[in-house]
Amino acid sequence: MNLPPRCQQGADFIYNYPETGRPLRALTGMARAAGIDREEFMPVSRTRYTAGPLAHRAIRFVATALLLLALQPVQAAGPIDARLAGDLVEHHAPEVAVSGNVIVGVMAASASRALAQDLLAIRAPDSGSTTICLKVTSRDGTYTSRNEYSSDSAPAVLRLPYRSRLEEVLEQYTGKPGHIAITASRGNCVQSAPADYYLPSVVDAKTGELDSAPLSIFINGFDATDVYYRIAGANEISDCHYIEEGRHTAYNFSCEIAEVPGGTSLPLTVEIMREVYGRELEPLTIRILATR
Amino acid sequence: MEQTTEAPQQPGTGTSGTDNGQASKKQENSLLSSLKELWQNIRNSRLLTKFILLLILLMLAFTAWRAWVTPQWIFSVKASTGIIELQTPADGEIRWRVNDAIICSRGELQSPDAKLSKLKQTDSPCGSTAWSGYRFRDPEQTLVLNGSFRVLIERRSDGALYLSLRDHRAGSQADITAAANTDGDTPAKPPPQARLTFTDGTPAIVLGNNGRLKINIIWPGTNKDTSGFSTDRVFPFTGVTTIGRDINWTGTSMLQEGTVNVYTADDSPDKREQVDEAELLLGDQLRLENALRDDELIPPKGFIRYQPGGDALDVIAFGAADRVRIERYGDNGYNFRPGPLSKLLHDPLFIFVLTAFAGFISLVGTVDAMCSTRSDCK
Repeated sequence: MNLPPRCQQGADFIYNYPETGRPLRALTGMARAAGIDREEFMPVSRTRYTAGPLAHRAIRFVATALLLLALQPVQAAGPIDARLAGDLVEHHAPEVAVSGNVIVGVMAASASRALAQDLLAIRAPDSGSTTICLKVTSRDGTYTSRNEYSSDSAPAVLRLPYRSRLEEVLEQYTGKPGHIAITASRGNCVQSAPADYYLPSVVDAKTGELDSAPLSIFINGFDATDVYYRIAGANEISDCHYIEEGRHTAYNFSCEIAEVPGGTSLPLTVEIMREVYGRELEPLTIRILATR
Repeated sequence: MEQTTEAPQQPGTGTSGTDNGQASKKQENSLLSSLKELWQNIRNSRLLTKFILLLILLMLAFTAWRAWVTPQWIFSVKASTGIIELQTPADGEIRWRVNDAIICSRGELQSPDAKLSKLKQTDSPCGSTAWSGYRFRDPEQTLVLNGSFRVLIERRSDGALYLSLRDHRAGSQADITAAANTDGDTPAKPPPQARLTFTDGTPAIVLGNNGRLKINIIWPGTNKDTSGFSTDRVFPFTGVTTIGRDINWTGTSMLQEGTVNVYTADDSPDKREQVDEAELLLGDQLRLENALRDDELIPPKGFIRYQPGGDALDVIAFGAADRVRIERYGDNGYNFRPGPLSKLLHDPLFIFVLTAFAGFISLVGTVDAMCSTRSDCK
């Protein structure tokens, strides 16, 4: 193998090979990342070419790494982090907060998992600056959080950093399907009944792609005996399901949209209809700005 | 001269009798002294101390075990409520008299009887046009529920009684437990079925369309002129029971008052003792779940009574469980169950062992005290 003459002469392997220092620093970082010990990789004991096998390993490692990099498919950029306004505000108290909102969750089914892994993201289709109000509510109403995020990078997949200080509490809910509801609405958190929602989902940190899990809409039906939903453009009215298990203070109906009907344009308009023993209450219409 | 006559001595009496008495006393004394000697040896060897220490440790372990094991209590609930929710069991039949009611169905009722269309109400309290209302003249029409359904019964402030009947959504914890306890050889249960039966010759009507059951049964107010419904009504039930509802700013139906009594779960009713009691406040919600005994789900039982003159439904429900859940407005709720001391004091096995232990310790103490006060024990 052809090594630089200085190396062959037992010169300082660290600083003299190759001639410039820059590639060597990169090489050092890669070696560290690969778990190769500095002493092993960098024979500072100025041995002669007897240090050859180590040098061989280092060079083979670099070559392999470069080859792998070259073979990597071109991938999308990762998600962009949205800015959280201030510190994350969250509450967990036995005193249950009884909310007045009918829509308590508009989310991909995987979003609860994303919360625990801090991989919660949305696709913001708007251009320019975006403000997002993220609300998280546990079904029993004991855990709540309300935070505002902003970004100037839209349209993009925006990760909403959620570094909870109540990880253990949160895991009790995120570990069980349907026990936590999330909404990411457009605009600030002052508005009481927003109409436009992003779809929080789990994001692949490397590819920046959002999970394509089914949609869940969680409803606080109050006195409603039946809740239905209809997607605009489709005639069919589908049932939302009453949550029978345990306490359901914050929301008591879930509408599962397994698949958005083909040909439905975005934003997705969903009409929520409630009935009390057959008597209709005022329907609600929400728009889901992007589904993936 | 004084003559004295002495009675001839009988052989075997007198001296020999005294001898015998003395011999038996000696024997007794020797037995007593050997026992005392044994006791003294036991005391001196500290065997007794070790034994008592071991016994105390065993008693402590036994107490901890009995305090830890969760017994099944019988919870008995008496409440006045505006609303109650039931989930009927998968294997059971419930019958309720539903005469004088308007039967509301989302979609048309399906029946081979051509007369059915004539019974359809044009002006019904069923709500939107998606619902159809029917009224049957039979005074003995009965709603028969076979299998698992979700039932909500609500009494409104105007005296109207509403009953909503929906499919139970499979996949609950009770379903999972039931499935886990079903072995492969058990034949599959038939799907749940709700039907209306009549005694006037009207064919029975199976409720629900396309596997989707949406039935509301409404007795619209207590006004005789409009409803003809003024008598008491009783709905016996079996199933998971939720009395009351979470308070919100739109609903007015709620639990009004009540008490929960806990009894020991002795199989013979005459031996049942009340262990504890809790009061239910306005707006509380109480949940009675299925109990699991010998891998079998035992649902709570009870009945609901409607009285036209009253202002709430009277509910009596009871079931075996280790606790009941009471949820109060603005609070996360708590599990009501007797404390460890109540648990121990009502545990017959614990009481028996404790009595035996106390008796033994007392006996040892008495013997020891007796020996300590007598010099021959020393």
